[in-house]
Amino acid sequence: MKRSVLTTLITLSLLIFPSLATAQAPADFEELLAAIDTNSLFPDDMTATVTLEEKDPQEGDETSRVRMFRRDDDDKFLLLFERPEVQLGQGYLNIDDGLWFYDPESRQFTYTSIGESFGGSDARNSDFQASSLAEDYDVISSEEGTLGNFGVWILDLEATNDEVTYPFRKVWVTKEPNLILKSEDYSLTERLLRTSYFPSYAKAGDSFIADEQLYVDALVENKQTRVLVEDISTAEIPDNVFTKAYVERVNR
Amino acid sequence: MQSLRIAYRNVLRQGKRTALLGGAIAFGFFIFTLLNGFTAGLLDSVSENFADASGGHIYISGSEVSDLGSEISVIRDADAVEAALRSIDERMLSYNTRSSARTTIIFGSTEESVTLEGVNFAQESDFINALSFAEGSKEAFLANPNGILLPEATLEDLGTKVGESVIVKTTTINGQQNVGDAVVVGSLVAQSLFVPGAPIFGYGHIEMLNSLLNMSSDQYQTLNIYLTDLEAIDSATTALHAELARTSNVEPREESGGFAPPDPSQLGFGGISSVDEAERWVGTKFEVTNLNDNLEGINALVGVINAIGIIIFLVIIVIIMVGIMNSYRMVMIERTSEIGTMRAMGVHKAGIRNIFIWEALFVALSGTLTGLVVAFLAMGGTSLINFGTDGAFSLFLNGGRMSFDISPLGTLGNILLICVMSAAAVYVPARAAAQLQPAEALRAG
Repeated sequence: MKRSVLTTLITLSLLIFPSLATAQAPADFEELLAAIDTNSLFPDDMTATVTLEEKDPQEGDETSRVRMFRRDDDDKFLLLFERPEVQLGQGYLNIDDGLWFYDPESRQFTYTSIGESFGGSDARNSDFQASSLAEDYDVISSEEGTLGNFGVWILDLEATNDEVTYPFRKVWVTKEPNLILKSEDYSLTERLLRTSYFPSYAKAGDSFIADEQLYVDALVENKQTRVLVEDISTAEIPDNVFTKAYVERVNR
Repeated sequence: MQSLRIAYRNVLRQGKRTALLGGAIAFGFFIFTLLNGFTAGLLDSVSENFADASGGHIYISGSEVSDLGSEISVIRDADAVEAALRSIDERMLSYNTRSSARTTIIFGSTEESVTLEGVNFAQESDFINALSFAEGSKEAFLANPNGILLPEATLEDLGTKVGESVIVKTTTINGQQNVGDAVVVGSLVAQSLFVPGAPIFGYGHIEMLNSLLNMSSDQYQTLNIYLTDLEAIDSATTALHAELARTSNVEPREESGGFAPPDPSQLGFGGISSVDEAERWVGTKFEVTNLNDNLEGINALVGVINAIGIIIFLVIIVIIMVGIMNSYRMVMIERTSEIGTMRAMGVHKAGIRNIFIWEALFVALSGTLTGLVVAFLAMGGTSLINFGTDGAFSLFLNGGRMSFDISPLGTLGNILLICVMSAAAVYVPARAAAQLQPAEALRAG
């Protein structure tokens, strides 16, 4: 289905059926986090085209296009740059032994971190994989609120361990389905680092993916990254796609 | 003695020939001495600059495996390290502890990547004196616990200036995002590491950096050791490694190495890495590296230059020998009657031979000494030129100037070698001259 139709459906459903928008408070907000994770998890393989529009006051505006392959069951993903020309063939491969960045010029894989910036943008490598809020965060406080026309739960989250990229987060979650519309990500010193907006979701089967994402840098003035996810497919991906050999072969 | 006096007189008498031969020897010796002095001085400068930037000659870093299986760079338990230091007590001048982080410095809408070195100025009171300030002062820096020093060029790129507050963004040792404020209290004249992609270094107080890295004030990431004698680097490293290995996990020496000192902020190039379950360890695993590990490239380059220098030197010696041999063949022919006269007056064959050999030795000695003096003058003159400390080659300079290092024994050895080769070259014509029959020699004159 077209993105716009799906988006309209989701929006309409919340307006027409207010009972869904004002669902009772979950007895356990940890369940809410688990629901968010479940909604973002693709049980089957998922492929999509991701466009990143970066606005950087220092570097200028830049648009990249990436082909994304995801296999959430195995916690694997591959992001291959298709544009711009200078980045063609670069890739991020997340497999069993970690996240690797491939540079076709040097033909080398470099170990990197899931928490690192994706291609220098305001998006993180972790933004391209299924959410793991239930595992990574505890709900410290919660309140009801609204965000635009949506009734939301506003949750303050604190990381459950000291290896989670953002130690503190504040998320605005729709009541049904449980999807994050906005997130404020904080540093260890509880300083706002970025604000993320997810105004639109696409649904494939029972899974949701924000097909429009906006990351606004809170430290660098006027810096932001807009991410568009299109051509979503849940067709099976060959196993060899999630291998270093494949990434190298694609570049030959 | 008589042969010596006659030889000396002959050398003076044959001014032009002596000057030409001696000049050739002087030139060759000058080139070789200059080259040797240059490469030795270059190595000294690089070693010193690297040691200053890195905080020492030997570096000990440590890492632990977290509960989630990630490798994090930190030394929490210093007892094992400090106990191991006793094994090199007599060779150690001082030691210091540092932390390091790859940071993003943000000012308004600009940001720059800088590797911030957290320095313990209570331990490294001399370090700040080694820094070249473009602006600001060491007093201002020492007085401000949140002060940082950045390269001049970084301040320009950021569009900020000394006295401004900036945001410092980094990841903790566990990989979490963290942010703090700092004040730029000084700018440094940048020293290029002449390595493409090498990090830009700034400095801050270790306490401030530890706080950003989520480390307590008594923890650190590297312990750096200054030795009293650079010659002892490798033996001291081996001793330290062996002592640490007795009590703790230590990375084998042959697997160590990398950009010195091991840069924790570069671990995995982009953050923490996970450790396979089968390879995990308990406690702190140490790695011991030294300056030489990280100057392998420079050492190799210097080795190549030295090898070229030796080849040039050998070629020059061969040319000198050929020149001396030919010259003294001609001398023998020219002085046949003189030889005959000396023989007729009772000078023995050995005496004739020795006169020639002494002549050659005088020419060789005067040539090498002249070459040495000219080399000293050239080195002295060149070392007065200030090339600046912010150029691409500043790593190879000592405070912006070239430095030269001459080994007295080595130089003496070279002089002796040339003298011996000169004597060897003249031996054949000298013996031929000595074999001349007096009567025939006189008749030929």
